[in-house]
Amino acid sequence: MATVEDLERIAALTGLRIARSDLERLLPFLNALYADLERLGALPIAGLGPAFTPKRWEESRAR
Amino acid sequence: MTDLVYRSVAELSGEIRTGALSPVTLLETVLARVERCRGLNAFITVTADAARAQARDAEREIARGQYRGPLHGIPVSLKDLIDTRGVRCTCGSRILADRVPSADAAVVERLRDAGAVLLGKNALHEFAFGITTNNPHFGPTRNPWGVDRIPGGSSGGSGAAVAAGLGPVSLGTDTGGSIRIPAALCGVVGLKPTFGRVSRHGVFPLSWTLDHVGPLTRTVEDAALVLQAIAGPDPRDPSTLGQSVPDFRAGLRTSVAGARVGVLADEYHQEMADDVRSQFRAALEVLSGLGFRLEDVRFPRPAETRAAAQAVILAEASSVHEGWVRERPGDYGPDTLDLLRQGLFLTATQYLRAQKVRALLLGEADGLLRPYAALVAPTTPVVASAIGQKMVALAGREVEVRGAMTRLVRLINFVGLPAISVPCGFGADGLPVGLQFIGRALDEATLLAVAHAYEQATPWHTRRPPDPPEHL
Repeated sequence: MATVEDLERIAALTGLRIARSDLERLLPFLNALYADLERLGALPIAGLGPAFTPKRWEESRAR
Repeated sequence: MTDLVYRSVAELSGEIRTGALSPVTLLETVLARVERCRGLNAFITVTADAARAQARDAEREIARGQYRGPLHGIPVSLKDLIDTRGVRCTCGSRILADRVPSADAAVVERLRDAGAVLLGKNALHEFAFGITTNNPHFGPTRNPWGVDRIPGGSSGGSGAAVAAGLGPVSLGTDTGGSIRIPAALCGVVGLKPTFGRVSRHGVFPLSWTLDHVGPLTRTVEDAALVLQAIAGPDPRDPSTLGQSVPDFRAGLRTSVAGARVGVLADEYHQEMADDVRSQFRAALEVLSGLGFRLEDVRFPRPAETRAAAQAVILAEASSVHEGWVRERPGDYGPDTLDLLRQGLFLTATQYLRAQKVRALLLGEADGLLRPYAALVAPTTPVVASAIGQKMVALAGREVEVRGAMTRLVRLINFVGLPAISVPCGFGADGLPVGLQFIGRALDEATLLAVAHAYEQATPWHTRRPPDPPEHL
């Protein structure tokens, strides 16, 4: 679980000025998202590259 | 007058072609209706003078025998993040409130080529990043079916305009449901084409790999006619596909009776308000009566899809807005700023993990669709909420309105499949309910044929909202 202090460090590293009260409001949403994204690692994606467009539809129909 | 403003493009174009209806008369009737319904706040900018000039040009051309096709002389409005040469394009924001593009978006070029009359720019959720169209800079847009209710979003002005008879067509954009949600909540048709079918050149991005452009109309046939005009490859948008564009209107006459339709079960069924559930069940009975073979199917990994899609939209939107979020945070509304800031706390590896999951899901979704003409589900699990309402009851618990409204539509953007929302009845307080059909990639023709068959068997697309109060 991330903490407000973690977010403050990230903000400082990336040059983002944001009030602590705003970080406190964002924290539960980010922790929920981080947990969801962590679980995605359990899916069979190790051999896959990222998909940014559906171009493969066109390619598969051309074959 | 009321009858004229509620006619479809297909009906109007027949009269315009023969000279029975003047584009100038049609435009003036629609402009009067826009003025009468100003309280809905469906438009940010109305380009009345330019539209009058275009309507006169259309009338002259048609009189000379130079009829261009079914959009010639038809008033069309545009979500106000689609660039229009010489007409401000605000994106519903304070930051771009005075921006005047020097060129048209690709879809606007195509509409002009088709002879459409550009009526104005529709209200939207700030930068299209939300589903209420409760805009902090331009005020809330109101749902014609209940003026204290949201029209949905982010293309909320488009949905409200088409529902209230302020022109038969608006173009919207859909990144996580933003065409289909307002279509459902306003009782009109909303089509999100296959990713890559329609150019996004000149459309302000929310999320490069999720954004789609498509029409909101009052009938499925009109959606087909508009898609015909705007679809096709564009070298200025590398995501567009080189596929030829079929005749979508002719495709409506294709018999789809006996085709298999997958009914999305599992999470789609479990979390639905009672009024939406009853309309959905009635819609399934209609489909069954039309001869469709209905089979329960499950969308692959819906929870994982939602999580990955959320990561992608947050990261990409934050990248689009990074400079302004750092330098001008006070110029955003609070809900938009919170979302954009969340994206700044995602790592590159988290974003790429989400895109790898997308690669997995693309294959699974294609496999799911292959045997079916379409899948069917509700568009939203609840009807329109009140303006300003934050939470809504769903399956016995309180959930955020944004999460509820995007729950059944966002997944489809992530896999780029075409989808359409059509009216399927009315729920609590007489508010519209939408039915979503999802099609195979690049097979909008079959998707439209299925949706058209349902539409023609039901009366819902013929219902009209009451006139709004004179002084909202």
